[in-house]
Amino acid sequence: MPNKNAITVILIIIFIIGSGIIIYRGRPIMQLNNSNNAINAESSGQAAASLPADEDQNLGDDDDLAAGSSAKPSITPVSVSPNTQQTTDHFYTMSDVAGHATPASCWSAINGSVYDLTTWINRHPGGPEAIQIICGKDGSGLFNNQHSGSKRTASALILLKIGTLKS
Amino acid sequence: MNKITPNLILRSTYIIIFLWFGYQQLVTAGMWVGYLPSWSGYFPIPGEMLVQLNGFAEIIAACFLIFNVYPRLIAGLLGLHLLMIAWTAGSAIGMRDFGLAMIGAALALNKSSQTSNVDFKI
Repeated sequence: MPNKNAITVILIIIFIIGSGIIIYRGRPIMQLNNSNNAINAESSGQAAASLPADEDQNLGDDDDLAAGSSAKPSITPVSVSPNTQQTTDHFYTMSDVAGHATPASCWSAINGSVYDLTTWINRHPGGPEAIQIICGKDGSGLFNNQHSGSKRTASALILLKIGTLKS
Repeated sequence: MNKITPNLILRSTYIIIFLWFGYQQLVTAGMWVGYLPSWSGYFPIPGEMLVQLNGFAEIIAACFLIFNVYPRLIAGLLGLHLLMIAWTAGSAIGMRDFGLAMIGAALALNKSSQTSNVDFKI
């Protein structure tokens, strides 16, 4: 029977590893990849198992989204660059962003990047209205006026980023 | 065979509660985002991720109780956690969570332990 200290250490290690997995898998960019893969699987009739549904295979596999499916979902990126890095780089136009202009699905373009602010609306310290007014729009002006130079705000945005604004 | 003591009943209750809540928060995080307090917005973490992390932490805390490792400390922390939720939620949910928090208080303040001689040390 392991002693108290061993159990404590094991549980703490499990907690750290599990937290890391949750943070990694929970990034909006990963959820977007998984949802796009699910849409492609349904539309093309492919079995889910044959698709790179897991995020490990999604890393750098944006070509699957751009070239593989015959029926593209409505939120598919306009173009996807060949990605050799860990973070997939989706490109969106303002028309894509404008299609998510409601609190139920709120995207905004800020300083050249596109962010999914849906889960942030009710948690914004300044109130939900400040986020709702930039849903589906370029919120760079309002954001910079309010939060320019704030590291905390910048770190909050990083985890909400889903792509880059295509000019 | 160990006797079924009140302490064992309370600890088992807490284990079941937090295993269930933790599992629910992991698999249906979107349904729990609404319960996040507004001050959680100061954390640069998406809402669903915060819920899942909270759920996983509750499961780990329940594991501590299962193995009877630092049961009083863990129960006290969980009770405080529920007290914060009760304060934030209010109404009937808050009252229910207040009652659950008192279970944690009872476990934390109860010096008699079911099995080992684990002292209340931080």
